[in-house]
Amino acid sequence: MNRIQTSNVILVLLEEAEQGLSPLSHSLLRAAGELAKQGQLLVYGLLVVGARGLPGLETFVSLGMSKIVAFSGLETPTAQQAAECLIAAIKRYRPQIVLVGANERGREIAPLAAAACRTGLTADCTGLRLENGLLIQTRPAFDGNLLAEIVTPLARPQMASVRLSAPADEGPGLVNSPVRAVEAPAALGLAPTAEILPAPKPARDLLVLNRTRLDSADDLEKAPVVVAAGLGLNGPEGVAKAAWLADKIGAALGGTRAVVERGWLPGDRQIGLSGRTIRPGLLIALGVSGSVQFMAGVGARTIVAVNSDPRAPILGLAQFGMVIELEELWPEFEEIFS
Amino acid sequence: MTKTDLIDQNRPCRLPEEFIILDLRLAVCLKQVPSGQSGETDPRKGFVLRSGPGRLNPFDGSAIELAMSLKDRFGASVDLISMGPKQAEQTLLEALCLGPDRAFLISDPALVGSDSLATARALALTLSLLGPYDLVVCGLTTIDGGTSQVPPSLSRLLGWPFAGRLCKVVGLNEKELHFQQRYQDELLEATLPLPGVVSTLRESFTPRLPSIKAKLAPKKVTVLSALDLARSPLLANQESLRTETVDVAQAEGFSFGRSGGGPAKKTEPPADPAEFDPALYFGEKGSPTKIQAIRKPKPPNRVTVRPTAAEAAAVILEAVKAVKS
Repeated sequence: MNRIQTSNVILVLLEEAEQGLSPLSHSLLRAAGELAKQGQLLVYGLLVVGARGLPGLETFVSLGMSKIVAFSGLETPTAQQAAECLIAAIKRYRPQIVLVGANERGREIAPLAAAACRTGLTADCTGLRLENGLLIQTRPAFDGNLLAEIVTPLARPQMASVRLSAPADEGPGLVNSPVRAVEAPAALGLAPTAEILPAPKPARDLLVLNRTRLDSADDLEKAPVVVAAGLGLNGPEGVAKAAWLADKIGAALGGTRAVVERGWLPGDRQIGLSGRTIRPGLLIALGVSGSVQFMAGVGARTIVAVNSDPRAPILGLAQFGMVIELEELWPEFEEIFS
Repeated sequence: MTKTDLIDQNRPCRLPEEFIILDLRLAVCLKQVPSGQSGETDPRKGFVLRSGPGRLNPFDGSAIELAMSLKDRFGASVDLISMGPKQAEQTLLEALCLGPDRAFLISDPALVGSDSLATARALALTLSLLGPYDLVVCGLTTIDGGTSQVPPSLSRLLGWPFAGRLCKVVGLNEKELHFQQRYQDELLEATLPLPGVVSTLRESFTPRLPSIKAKLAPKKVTVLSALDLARSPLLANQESLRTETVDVAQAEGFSFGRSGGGPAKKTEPPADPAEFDPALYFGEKGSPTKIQAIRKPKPPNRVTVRPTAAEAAAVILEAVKAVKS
């Protein structure tokens, strides 16, 4: 039925972090490793690197990649530059599947590349599996209360942007995808092959004049404890109480889309599918229903949920689900911290 | 208005020495989303039902505001372009009260079920048909579909450069837009050569209130059908629908031009507009992605308790202590 000729490659767009690859890249490689197992495929990693060059190749052996493709000469690529590199790699390796991290930059790069290939792209996937070569892409849909399974039956490659999903304590190196002996130097104790290519340049692109680091910006992502404010706080006063509690216990404060929509918290505090992704050791969810939309942004080791509605889905997802009116809680905390 | 109103004094001046009316043509792409708290969905097919009342996607209000602020400052025409059911006309009429000049709605049963690529294709063909435009402004994402894929895809299909997440406009001239864009960890200042496509951050451009004058003025929305897009210059020369994919298409087996219709087949531009078949470009058939199934997430399975306030507070503080130690 499917006559499209592609190679047996899963191409993964990787991101460098201060030390090695970003947590999102590790998450993508875990997902790619699973798919490689299901479909007898090889994982190729794509990196866009600056003058500094490649980090040690041995790092990649434990990550289940058979090849690392590096485009060099771009210190801080624009979305279009990164997309050009991705398109060039798609042309060269004709992968069956392309995975891109669903962060702010990935959400720009992936559609640029998918449109160039005139292929399908499924945004913000929270689950991936293979069935007869077809990538079944699961994403929250319709206000986040349902899950949709989306496929790209004919066009190739099958492209997906993927959310960070694994809990923070699952470190790198957990993927051990079986790679074929001929093309698997890793299995023979050798470094995976690397190909270093000059980065192609888009014909017309934006010109960056100035960059300013925003330091406090990843407080939510790095916080060991996060307090999440939900609609159940019943208004800006309730959210202010949650902010007060977060301050007292040394936690970062975030909120649901509904809370941000009502202006009770600024837009950059939003956790979830259309907001930020957190991976704290502890999430304290106050009046949060726990929609798929919200949970798509949460990879917490422990969740403590407080909700007045016993039917709230979050109570089933939390290690400690407590049904109680939030208003009853505040006098208690005020006494403790007085 | 003086030059100092337009530029940041700390930055090198990238604007013409004297303020001139640029007379640029701007387009804003927008979407009507369901009005309800959560859009009603068809329980079997899982589609968002778009027959009910609708409102402007809140992210798109900021796109209109950015375009209108450019109009106010530099002199420009602003066209609104939307794709959707017939009742999206109402949303466009309301948006016209904010001051844009014209509004166009692409509405056709052939467009139903379009994914983000087919939607971007319909918008690209419409912009090409109504253009030439200098700048296309989009909201960052939508509150219903929420993929944020259409603006970058649209730029690629038009063959124009793209800049996302604009939070401030610094200046504009005939050749480029000068702006700031904000990412979570970085604030960038950059210029984009025109024509180009940008997306806006919702919180950075608060929509103005409708003006009485605009409310009272006669307004109309021009409705286009899928067949009207056959006359789009973009389709006729296939420049941006084909050029960059020629190389890739030579790699055997890639499907381009039309994405869902069949494998390894390039679409030739129709010699005669009458031969234009919208089904190859739009709707379910023209969309590379398909919804295969809709399911409910797994039901909750943990036991919950009804503690006293003191117990609840103690649990929370215990958990914090455990993490911090």
